[in-house]
Amino acid sequence: MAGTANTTESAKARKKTGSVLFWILGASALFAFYESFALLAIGMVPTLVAVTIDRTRNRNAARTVAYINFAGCLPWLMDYWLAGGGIERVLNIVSDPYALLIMYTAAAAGWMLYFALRPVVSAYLGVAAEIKEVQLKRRQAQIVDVWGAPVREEAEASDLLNPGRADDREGTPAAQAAE
Amino acid sequence: MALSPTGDVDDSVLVNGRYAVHPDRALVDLDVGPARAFATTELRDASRPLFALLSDPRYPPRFDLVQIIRRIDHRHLVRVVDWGVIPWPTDHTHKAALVLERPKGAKVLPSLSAEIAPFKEEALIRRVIHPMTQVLSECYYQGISHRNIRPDNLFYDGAGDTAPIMLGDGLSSPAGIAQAIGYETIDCGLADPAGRGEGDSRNDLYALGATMVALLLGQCPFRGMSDEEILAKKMELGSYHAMLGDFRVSLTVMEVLRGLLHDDVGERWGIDSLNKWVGGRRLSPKQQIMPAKAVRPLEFAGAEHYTARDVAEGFSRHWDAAIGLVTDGTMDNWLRRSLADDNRTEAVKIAKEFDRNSIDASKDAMLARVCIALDPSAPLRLRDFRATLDGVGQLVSSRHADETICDLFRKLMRENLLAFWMDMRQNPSPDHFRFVSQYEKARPYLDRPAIGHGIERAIYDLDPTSPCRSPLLQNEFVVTMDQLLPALERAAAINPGNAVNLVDRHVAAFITARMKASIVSHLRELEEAATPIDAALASTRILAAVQDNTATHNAPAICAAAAAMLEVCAERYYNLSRRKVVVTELKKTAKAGIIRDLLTVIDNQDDLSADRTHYQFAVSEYVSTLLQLQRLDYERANRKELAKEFGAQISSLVSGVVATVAVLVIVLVKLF
Repeated sequence: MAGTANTTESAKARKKTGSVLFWILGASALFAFYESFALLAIGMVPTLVAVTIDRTRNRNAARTVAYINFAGCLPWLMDYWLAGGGIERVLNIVSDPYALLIMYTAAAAGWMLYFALRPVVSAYLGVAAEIKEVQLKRRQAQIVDVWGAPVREEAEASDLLNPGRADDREGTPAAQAAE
Repeated sequence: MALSPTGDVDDSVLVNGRYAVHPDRALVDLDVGPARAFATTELRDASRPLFALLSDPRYPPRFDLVQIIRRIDHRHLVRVVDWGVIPWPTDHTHKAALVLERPKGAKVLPSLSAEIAPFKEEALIRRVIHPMTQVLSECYYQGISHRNIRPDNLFYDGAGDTAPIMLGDGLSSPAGIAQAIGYETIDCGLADPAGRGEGDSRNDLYALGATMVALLLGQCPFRGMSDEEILAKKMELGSYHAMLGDFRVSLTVMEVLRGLLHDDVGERWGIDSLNKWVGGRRLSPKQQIMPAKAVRPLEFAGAEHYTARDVAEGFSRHWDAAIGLVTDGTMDNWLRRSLADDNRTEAVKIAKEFDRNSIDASKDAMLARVCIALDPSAPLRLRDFRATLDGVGQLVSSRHADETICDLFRKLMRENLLAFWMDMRQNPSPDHFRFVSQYEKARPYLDRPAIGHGIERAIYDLDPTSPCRSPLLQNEFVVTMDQLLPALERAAAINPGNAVNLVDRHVAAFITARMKASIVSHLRELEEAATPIDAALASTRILAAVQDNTATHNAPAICAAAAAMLEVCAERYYNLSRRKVVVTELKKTAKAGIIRDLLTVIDNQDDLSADRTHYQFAVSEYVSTLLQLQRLDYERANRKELAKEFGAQISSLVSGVVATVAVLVIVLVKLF
């Protein structure tokens, strides 16, 4: 017990140290590259919005938008870097409607990708389920043909299908087969 | 159908492939009791005069004595040639046939009601007593009794009435069953004809004495009298006086007749005494001491009874009335005041004391004991059950279908009346102890309802000559194990392929009693069978054991019946196609007729075990499919959410890939 407590304590300590290190490095980078960050902050406003509204665990919507939004910002970021930097340059870029249109259009493409794939996936899941169901029922019929109705009755009475009745089903042939 | 000696095909039936019995040629004159006589021809020697006696199925022949009596080669005894079981075409049954040499002449007395010219004493001694003494001596030394000596079973061995006289058959039916009551001792005469028992040489000597009287008189001594009247007269006067009456005989003949007809078996002449007499040694005639007579009779059922034996017989004939007389003390008073026989009084007292421990509320056992106490030499009498000690098994066997007799037998055994009878006997013989010991062994079986036990087992244990009484074999005659399977084969062939259970209570008991190898474990399986499958397997195992132990030829009809019965066992296989294969294999195997092979097919444990294992895997697989279908249902119900989640993941992935490619392109374009 004492060993487990020690391990938990040390993990918490490591996490706290890492967090502090991240903020120190982040603050240092922000301080060192504040112009680049400013450009990205303006160009990736749609990403910030997506991060704000995507409350899912993996934030896949925000990621989708972020990746493409970043790609849309990258040409001007590269121009800024190759031109030697400077806040004026940043202001020129962010005041250029064409540049902003490209950046925000890229973000919009991310959103479009996100919304367009959902019905496709839904249709795929539906068709796949139909095919799988037909295959499974065909296999059931084959089993019943070979072994008769009792095999269905015994299977339907199985503890695996009625978990409330099964206390120790692990290790049974049915459990292994189900796995 | 058989070939006649001339080569013609006729309707005769062969005994052991050697003697052709002609069903269309009945010889009524040669019938012996319940056995019917038919002309018979020996195939190798058609000139040999033979006839066959076909036994009544209820009364089997004394086949166990055939080999012994064949050793007696005496010209004054009808020669027994062979015996066998034959199919009888007229009623489509199988019957036991005893083949004998046919006497050349007629019967000495055509029938018991006929009259002939009386034999002179000298002729009687020379032509009857001397030869019959030789025959009975032979029988005695071979350890058997004839039990069928009477004037209508004596034959002239040649034309005319001057030819030598020979004794007829004694084996075609159970001992004493065909005997007229006048030629039976009083003790045996009191018993049911089927319960007279094997008896011994003294029974034969008594019958010889009675036969001698009949020949001297030229007619039966009790002609025209009923059995009851004959018995009453014998008990009143003694056999000698009852038979001879006022007829005068010489002292020489009187001596032998008094000796042979003595009613006290201990005083009756044995074969040695008769041989001495025949050898010329004259013995003083034995006077029979008649039983003590009461001063006043015991009156009941419209008759007066003066002696203890008379009272006992009267009681046994009027059972219900007698119970009242015994329980209200009337009989005790008569014993003390009128008969004044202390021994009988004491014996009856003991008999009544036994009743205190009896569980028989009907008082039947009490009255049976009282009858024994009053007349210890008489047969066991319990209502309609009347048998000598060695005739009990024979009576139960021949009357097995009579539930009353069976119940009385159970009561007799349960109440241990045989032991009481032994206790009351003054001089029990070693044979008596042997019989009582046999009954003691049979007693535990009686009340056990299990198959292979019960009264059926007692029948076959107590009567070694009893045929199997199974209803399945009602048209058969099975007395030995070797005959059982062929008979069952014929019974099964009547409805070929029907699922007939060939092991009923009688067959099981017969096998248990007759076969040396034990089938107890199979019987237990059969008794405890909870399903038709278990019962079918146990029955087949029993039949297989019989076939193994009797080396019987193949039995395809039995196999077909067993296979039909065993088809249900195919349900032990889970695999449906395997079931069909097994049933097909079963039918195919049945044709070979080896019962054990059926079990190899249907009861293959390795095969069954593999089938069970595969079935369990099939169940597991089915469970797996059900779980997957459940998963599919879940996905279908939540497809929107799942599509959203998977779509987001895929879009994230696609976005990442596209962005990566775009970044690489942009970097490359800007730098170069």
